[in-house]
Amino acid sequence: MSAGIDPISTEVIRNAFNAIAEDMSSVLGRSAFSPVIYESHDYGVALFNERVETLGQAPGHPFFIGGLDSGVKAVVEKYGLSSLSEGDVFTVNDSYITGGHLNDVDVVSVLTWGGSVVGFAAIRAHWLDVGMAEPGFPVNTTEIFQEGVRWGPTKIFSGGEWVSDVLEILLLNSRAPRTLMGDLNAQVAAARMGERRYRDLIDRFGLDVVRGCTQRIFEATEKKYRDFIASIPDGIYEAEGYADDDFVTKDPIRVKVTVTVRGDEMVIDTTGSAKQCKGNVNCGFPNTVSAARLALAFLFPSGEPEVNHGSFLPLKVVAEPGSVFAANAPAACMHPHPGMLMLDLVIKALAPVLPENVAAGLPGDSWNVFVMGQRPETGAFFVSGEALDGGWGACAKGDGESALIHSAAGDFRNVPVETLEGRFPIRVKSFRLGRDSGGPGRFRGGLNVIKEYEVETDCRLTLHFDRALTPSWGLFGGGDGSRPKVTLYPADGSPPRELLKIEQLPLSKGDRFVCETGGGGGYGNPRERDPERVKLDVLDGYVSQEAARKVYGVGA
Amino acid sequence: MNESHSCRVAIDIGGTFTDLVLYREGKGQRLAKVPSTPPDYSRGVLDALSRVLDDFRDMGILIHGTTAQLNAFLERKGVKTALLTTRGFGDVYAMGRGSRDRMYDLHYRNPEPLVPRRRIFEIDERMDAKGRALLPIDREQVREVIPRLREEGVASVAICFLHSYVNPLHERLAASILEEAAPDLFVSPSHRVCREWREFERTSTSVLNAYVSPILDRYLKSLREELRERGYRKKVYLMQSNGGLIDAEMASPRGVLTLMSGPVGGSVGSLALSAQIGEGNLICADMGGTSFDVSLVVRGKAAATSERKLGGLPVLAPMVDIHTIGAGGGSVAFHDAGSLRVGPRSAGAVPGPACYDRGGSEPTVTDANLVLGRIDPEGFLGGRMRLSRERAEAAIDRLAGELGLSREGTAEGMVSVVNAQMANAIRSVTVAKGIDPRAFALVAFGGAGPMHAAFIASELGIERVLVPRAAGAFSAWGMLTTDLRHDLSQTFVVPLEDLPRSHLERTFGELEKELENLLASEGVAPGDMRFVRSLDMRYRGQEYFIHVPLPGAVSDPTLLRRLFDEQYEKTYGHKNLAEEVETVNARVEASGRLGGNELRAEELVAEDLDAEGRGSRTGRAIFDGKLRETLFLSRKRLPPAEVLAGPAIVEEPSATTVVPPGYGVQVDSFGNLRIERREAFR
Repeated sequence: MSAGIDPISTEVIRNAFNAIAEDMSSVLGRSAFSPVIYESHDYGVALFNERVETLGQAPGHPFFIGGLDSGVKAVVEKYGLSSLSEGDVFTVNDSYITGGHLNDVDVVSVLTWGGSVVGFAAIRAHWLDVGMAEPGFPVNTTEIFQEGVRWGPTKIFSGGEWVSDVLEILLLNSRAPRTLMGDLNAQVAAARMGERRYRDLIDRFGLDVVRGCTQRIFEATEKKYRDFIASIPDGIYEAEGYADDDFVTKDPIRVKVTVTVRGDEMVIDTTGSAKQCKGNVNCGFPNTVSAARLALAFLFPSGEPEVNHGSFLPLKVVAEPGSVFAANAPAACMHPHPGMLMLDLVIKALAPVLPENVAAGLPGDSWNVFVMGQRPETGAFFVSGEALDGGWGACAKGDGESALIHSAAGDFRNVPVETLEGRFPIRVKSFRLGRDSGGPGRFRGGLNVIKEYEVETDCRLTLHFDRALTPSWGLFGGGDGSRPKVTLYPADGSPPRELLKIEQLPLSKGDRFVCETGGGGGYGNPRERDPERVKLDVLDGYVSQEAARKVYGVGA
Repeated sequence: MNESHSCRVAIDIGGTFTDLVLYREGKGQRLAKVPSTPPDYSRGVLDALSRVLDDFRDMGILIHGTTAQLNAFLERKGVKTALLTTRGFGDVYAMGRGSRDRMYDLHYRNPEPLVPRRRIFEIDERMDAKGRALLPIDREQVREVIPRLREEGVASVAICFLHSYVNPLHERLAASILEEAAPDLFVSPSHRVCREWREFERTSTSVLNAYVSPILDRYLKSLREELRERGYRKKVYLMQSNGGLIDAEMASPRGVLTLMSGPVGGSVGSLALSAQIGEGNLICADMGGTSFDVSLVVRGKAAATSERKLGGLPVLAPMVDIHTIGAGGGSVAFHDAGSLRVGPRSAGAVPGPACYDRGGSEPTVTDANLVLGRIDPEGFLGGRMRLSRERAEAAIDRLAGELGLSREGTAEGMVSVVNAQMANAIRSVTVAKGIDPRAFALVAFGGAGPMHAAFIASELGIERVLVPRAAGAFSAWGMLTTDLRHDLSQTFVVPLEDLPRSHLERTFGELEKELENLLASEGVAPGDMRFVRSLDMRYRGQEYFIHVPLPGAVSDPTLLRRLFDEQYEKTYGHKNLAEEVETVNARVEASGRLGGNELRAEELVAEDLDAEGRGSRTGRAIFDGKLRETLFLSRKRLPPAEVLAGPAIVEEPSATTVVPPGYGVQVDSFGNLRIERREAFR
């Protein structure tokens, strides 16, 4: 049917933007070489118009929500829109531009129609190795130069041809050049799919109709977000907490959040937070923007909010340059985890005025466990890497879910015991939910996980555990979730040792260690919890009889 | 020819209707459609049978697909179930894999587990990853569980111990203790339903099996008894999720294998159609009242999967791959911030679309088609149900007012939006598999599919649309041609270069022996059995694998490697020759022909006894905003071979086919409608 700028074309185009982004991510997923991309979904995909406004997106992780614009803007700023032409593709990984660690590499392709630039396709994906000092995920770097090769906006395709000099530098500097090439090819293939489909859409509707409808889509989405913000009482809302340390200095890292709501606008300001750290927990500013945007999406009163350029127009994000949330070169940015605590604190700050939307404290760290060494039979090198789950915060609707991946990741699956034992010289002695680990409340926080390991050969252990200083808090009278903790039991009978962050600690065959992650925060006064639920929790072993009596006031 | 099989009956039990197809050698087929009768679906089956048969003893074979277990699961109406696990791992079932699939949902919850933690019992025992017993099973602990099961009123017990996929000894011992001491309990050890690693998925599968199998058993017992009373003593076969049949007597201990018995019907029909018309690549689109299901036939085989989530819970079982979105005739349209949105909410059967005049007042896709004149209010369901044009118009007028559009513009807009959604769904299914939809034909069925198919095809650049005969009973029709089929798999993780060839051969041999016994017990002669081996393989370090069919008894690592590389490239468009490869699962797919009386799809073309419907007439319908003179005619009246130009509406009792302007329609020699652009017919 003939199409104008009407509600029908608008809806068909709106669906098309999201479908194009989804299909781009499907192309990436089925052609990437790295499991971290196609299994752990460590990627983000977005489609932009020529003004670098987000048309549609498909983040593999929620943290990549609306977070790809910064790389595209950097490309446009450096090269100028008028010098871009069909077949040009750029890449950038500089942490201060993208917000991620250097392994997060953006590929940006130029979309043209009738000879002029009409948009961009951007694909961020986690590359296995970009030449950092040590393979894996070190916790001990102190400047970005140790974290790999760093590049600003760089042309890798010119008019449809590889810029081979650049490609060679990338390949020469990686421990895994084949995988790098495979992942880069997958990103380019996904971008090409975006180009083709966006062009088809313009062919079908005409550029004016696509632009007109895009404007309507942005306006409608912006209005929804503005209406939501306007429904929050005007005011200044604050919260603060401490990330444990940066491993290198052992100093607590202050995180301060001030949320100002005025009319239909919101400002999320991290001023007052710690200066940038010596260790590698610093955030490039775009990472802070992503955390703020994700907090707003989490609070939006629908589980599936629309995300496009209009979504975040009413939101302003502020961080002091040189702080942990807008680090300057050469700050190390391998584990920008204070961003997760910041996100969580935004939710906490708004709890008094959005009691139905918020949740109590969330799993705010990835609780990484890396075991590496050589196989006793073959001498071959192995690395086992895991991110452990934790308890989610309770909310006005009910209990928090137990054993879920942290807030920044979504469809990220844990490693099955059978897979771990089948693949590595590691035995899991037990894997359970922690009784009484969920913050008590009218609605209980989700339970943490407790995983007990025994190593079957001499090897090394790297850990990144945070949020022990600021465990997942309760809200409205609810209690805190349990603190994360790792205990090492040496096989030689020497006394147990408590750990949180550690780099390549030597372990001996037979050493055991027990990892406990954080439990979720409780919501509301535990004495108001339905006694039937308490009794079921006791029967299920989720709450002890003692806690039932003392905390909930419910006898067995 | 085997006289006893001369009359075959297939029955597809859906949520709303039970469809029957009867085929009598040389005499053609008959159809029947009756309302389904939950919770006792067997009444609907008997009702349908009585409509086409005077004497049940005339039947040679009865085949059917049922949603009894699927519904029991989705509505959480299975039996009270308990679970036995390895000590230290009793929380695995509640923990799951820790992922959140609704990524911005701050209040995310996992689906409710079928067994609460208080009915999960940990037992002292432990195997390692190589299947060596680190700790023998404590049998006394298993016995001690029984009185507690009694107290709780448990009817069914699943057992899933760590690494039982390598060595099921402890599961076997626990199962036999329970079976001896409590013969009334249904016992489901994981190794009887799947032998693949990943403890959460395997636990979920065996729990689901324990939860629904007793329901299936009850249903099949009652059906068989009723049939026996009416003189039918021959075999009853059940559709499995893998698209093959199983003898009903063997189906009930493994209810999880027939969970998709109903939904799989459309794909089975498409497979039969593919064989009939000699077209290997089909996109199968089933649009009903509430949902739109897409499946694929690629190179003559139904695209399958060995794992999927049902109701949010993982199931490891071979299944035809079906992708579903919420778009159907009942999808409700609404105004949202300047956009006209459609679905995924549906008005369902009650109250249904506004035009059903059953109290629904929201505008649905069916109302839009009625307002556009593409449905004749007098001709719906062969004239058995009269639709209210006034109600449809009133519902759409309200929406048109909010949008500032005309009634017709709104109606055509609704159809465009839902067509684009369905096209997007098909596109993502094909993109995910690396397939170009333009190389496929679109098969449309279900009540609403043929009404939208030409428009969807046009969006995707697909040239040809096929609407099979009896599109409403298409699933049952396909079942008539299906073979018995059983799949077994065994996790077998070994780096390809260290592959112990004799061990691999032994594993395959054991699987085949077991399958041979299964088929033999279903009465299949050795000459009618076929076995196909395959290996799941992957690059080391990956979690997911690809499925590599093997040409016979291959165990040479170099050849296996080549087959893997070829398949990997076909699936992902690249390969990585320097990366190490390992095996994951050995699989065997066994099929057995039914009693040596092969019924080929090509033969299924005789006259059917469909109702006539209304005669041909000229009416008016809206296309591209214009009111066009449109031919309405009964499908039975379509002259064979002649090309009829659109706009035209082809009516039959179970479906309506829309042929838009610029398209033509032709009946092929098997009675299928073929719709293409008019130029294609010249």
